[in-house]
Amino acid sequence: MTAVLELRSLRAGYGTIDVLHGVDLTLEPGEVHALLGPNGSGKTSTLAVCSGQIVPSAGEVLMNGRVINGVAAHELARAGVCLIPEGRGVFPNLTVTENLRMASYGSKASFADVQARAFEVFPRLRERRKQVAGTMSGGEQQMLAMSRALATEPAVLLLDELSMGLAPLIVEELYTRVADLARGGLSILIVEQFAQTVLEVATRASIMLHGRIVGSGTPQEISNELASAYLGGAHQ
Amino acid sequence: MSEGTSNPTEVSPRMREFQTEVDSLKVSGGKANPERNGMIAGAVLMVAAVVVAIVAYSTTHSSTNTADWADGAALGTIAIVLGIVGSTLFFAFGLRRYLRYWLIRLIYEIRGNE
Repeated sequence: MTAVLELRSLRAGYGTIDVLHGVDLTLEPGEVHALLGPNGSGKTSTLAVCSGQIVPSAGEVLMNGRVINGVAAHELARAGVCLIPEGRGVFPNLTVTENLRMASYGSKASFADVQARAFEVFPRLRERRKQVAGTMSGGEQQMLAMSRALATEPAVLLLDELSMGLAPLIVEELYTRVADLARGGLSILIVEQFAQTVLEVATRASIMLHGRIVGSGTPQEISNELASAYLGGAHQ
Repeated sequence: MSEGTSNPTEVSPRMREFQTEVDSLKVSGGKANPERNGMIAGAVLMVAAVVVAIVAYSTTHSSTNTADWADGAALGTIAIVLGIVGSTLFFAFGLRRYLRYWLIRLIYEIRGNE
């Protein structure tokens, strides 16, 4: 089966400075692929390339087997590539309902459907629906960010540091939802600095260091390699 | 532990729709460093201005014919225009590139302080 998303010998960066030095990565349909690595390894930049925010300087980005280098971010978003950035990106001065309404403007689904799905996946948002998003806990804001992403009915979901600043229990709950979404056929690429929880839901994982993929395999295989990779061992 | 996902051999309606959407995308190839071409064009124009100015000087210097002097004056004017356009392009695209880096750095600093 053709990969939903594939990066081939991808090089990209900011201006004349490349931060990705030949990345090869594949995301199969319905797969949860965890991209792990320490701070500054190029994980977020990889997501920025996948979502069309950064144009590759060399190599290829393929979606469903088609090279899509240079396609604008808004066109990819319309096609079904959705990025949830680090920091969540909710409107802090709007209520939960208003945030969902904003999401429905860019969606084919009606506001009622968007809200119903959000409350179905995250029942806690129903209790908070009149609350201003900026006053909610980090976990609830992340739930709202995910609900907004789901409103666009994505085919590919790109998640950047879902666990950032959240309590372990909340992270576990969020990743349970991520696994549910993948079972529903959504292909998910997750970038994480802290590996343990994401490896429990991932079907495949890769380790990134200094702008390169240095290891790829099952979560079990990657779990064994992780410590040495982070400490600059085997693959250097 | 890996949790199961959907059957990999099944193609969901959403995936078929996604395939159609991807097929309809206009692929430009893009430009990884959009300011680079502008700066190169500016530099080329500035070099051309210097060359044209030298030609204009040698034309007028080596002749006593007023028609040649007029040609030299015209070439000199062209050199000035090329120089102005070239330097404007070079500095405008250079400034744009600098501001892009500045903006990226600002965003990272703000994120770092959050």
